[in-house]
Amino acid sequence: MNDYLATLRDMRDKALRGGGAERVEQLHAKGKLTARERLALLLDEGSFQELGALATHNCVDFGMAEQRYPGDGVVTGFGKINGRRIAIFAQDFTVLGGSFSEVQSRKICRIQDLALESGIPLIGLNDSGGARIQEGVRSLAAYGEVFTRNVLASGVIPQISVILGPCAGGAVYSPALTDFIIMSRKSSFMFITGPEVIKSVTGENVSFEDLGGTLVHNARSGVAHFLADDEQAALMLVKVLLSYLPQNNTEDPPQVTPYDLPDRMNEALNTIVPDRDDMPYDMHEVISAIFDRDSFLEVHPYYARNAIVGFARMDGYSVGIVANQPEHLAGVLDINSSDKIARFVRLCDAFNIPVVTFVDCPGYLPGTDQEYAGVIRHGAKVIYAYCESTVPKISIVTRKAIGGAYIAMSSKQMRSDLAFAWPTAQIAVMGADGAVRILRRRELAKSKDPAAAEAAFIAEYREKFFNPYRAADMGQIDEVIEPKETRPRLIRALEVLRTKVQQNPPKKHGLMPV
Amino acid sequence: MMTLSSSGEDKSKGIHPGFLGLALVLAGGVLGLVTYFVDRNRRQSARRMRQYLEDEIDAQDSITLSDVNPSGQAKELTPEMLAAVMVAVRMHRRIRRKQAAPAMRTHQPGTLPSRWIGSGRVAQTQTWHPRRR
Repeated sequence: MNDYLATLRDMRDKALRGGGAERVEQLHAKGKLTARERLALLLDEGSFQELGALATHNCVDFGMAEQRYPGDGVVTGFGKINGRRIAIFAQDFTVLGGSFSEVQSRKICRIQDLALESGIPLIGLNDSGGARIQEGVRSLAAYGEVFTRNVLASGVIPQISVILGPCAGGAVYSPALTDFIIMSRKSSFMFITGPEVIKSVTGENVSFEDLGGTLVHNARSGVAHFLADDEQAALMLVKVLLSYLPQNNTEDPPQVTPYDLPDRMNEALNTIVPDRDDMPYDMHEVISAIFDRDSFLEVHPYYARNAIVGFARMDGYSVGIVANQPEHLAGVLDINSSDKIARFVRLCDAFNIPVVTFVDCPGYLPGTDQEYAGVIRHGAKVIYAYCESTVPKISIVTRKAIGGAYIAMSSKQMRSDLAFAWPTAQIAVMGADGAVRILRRRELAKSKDPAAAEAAFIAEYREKFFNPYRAADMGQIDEVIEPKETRPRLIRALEVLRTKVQQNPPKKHGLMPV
Repeated sequence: MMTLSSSGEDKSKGIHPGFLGLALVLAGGVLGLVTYFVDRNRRQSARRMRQYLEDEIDAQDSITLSDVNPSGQAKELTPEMLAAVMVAVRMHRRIRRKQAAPAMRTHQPGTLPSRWIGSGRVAQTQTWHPRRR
């Protein structure tokens, strides 16, 4: 009996050592942590239950028979984060560079299946050199198994990917299919083809950082949602992000004991919108003045900055926020911001998180670049996402809601539950200059002083249409409120809508204009 | 009770105005005295509390490194140490709130009925549909 136990303990010990002390030291020298160290940081103490610790590959080609490590380069299992059950896998770079093998796939698929059946979030800590070439097509097929489960779990359980090392080739698609990607600065890269392949195919010289570094994916491509300074910060971010999300699509996110006054009114809001239309203001200030203190977690903070999306708490409840940012491109909707907003609204809808929309948008960005790149198709995504969603939706027009932007940004006709407007709101079909040139074309042509006449017509148009009262007259706005009242108004509205149930017609799935 | 004099006059009908005035003066006097004593007591308590706090602060200011025993445990906490502890506690509380740690939630994990299980179990038993006309 003692021999049996000794064998088991020896194998477990080997599994714990990963690729060996030397490789662990090399990893530490690069400022990286091992898979098990990452798990220890992320999970509640003593909560990790490992599965498949002794699995090894059965490949014998290219000297692989001598390179068998228990676990085969991935640690999988269950654990708890702040008392909440989660499923997790962490790729171990010390074992064959964390290369993705058939056994890895089986282990990850197993944990994906169990997470989906149990209705608990799945977290992946990615740090892999790519497919295990020695295994040939078997490792390729393995990717497909993981992708299938990513898709089936999408919208059912939250899936979070943390990129803590290289993630190349087919491996990038598993994180891309998950709900959130967090990248650690310096140590993480994501690309389909590496710099060497690019050079050989196109002759283009590009560094790892410029090709698939953290800044590229956080600010330009929008592939990553969060940027963390280091691995520890990335893992802490997972904890914070999870606090806004439910365990699965049938449950609600955890409610934090309220710590901010529900009737708090911030006088600064009454003067935050400048008198002049062309003066910007920071929508972040509006958000932080209205929602629970320090509760805002911005998603995609560096990508498409003319729109703001993120989570916050309102009286302790999790809410999703969508807003135009007048400080960037005057808050217009363009291709990237449309994608950003549409994805976020759908995510909130999938996980029962109410959406609050702050509107200050002069319209869609004009220009051939945008039209050729398909701003119609991308802009339609925003409309599709809002119309399709069944969670409580509240909109607040802070200033401009002009033309298509009024309709697209959670208008009442697109199943928004409540529409508020500040007295500074300007709800109109189009801007004053353009409208006057069309409506008063003949008068302007006949006028002896066209500039003065145009100015007079613009002033008349603005007085008539650039206010929220026309829309309020017709019921397109439910209430014009003082800006400082927004917090208490929102809390009461969300309280009423907490039990909202709305259903869409039965169908396999809609055809979103992707 | 109503009393009648031998001449049949009701004595209780009119109380002498002098008596009423005297009663009011006496009541006012008693009220004044009570107010005076309550106020004096409050002043004395405040003075004692102020003195106590001043003594405490003086005592804390006089704590030196020699008051820390070899195990590193302070006998008394200095204001700086108290401030550091307070900052650490507040920071810890803030982080725990941001992460929605169990202590910061309105409901402890697992105390709410799970809709996942509720709807899932119902669906499990609805896999067989008898043929309908």
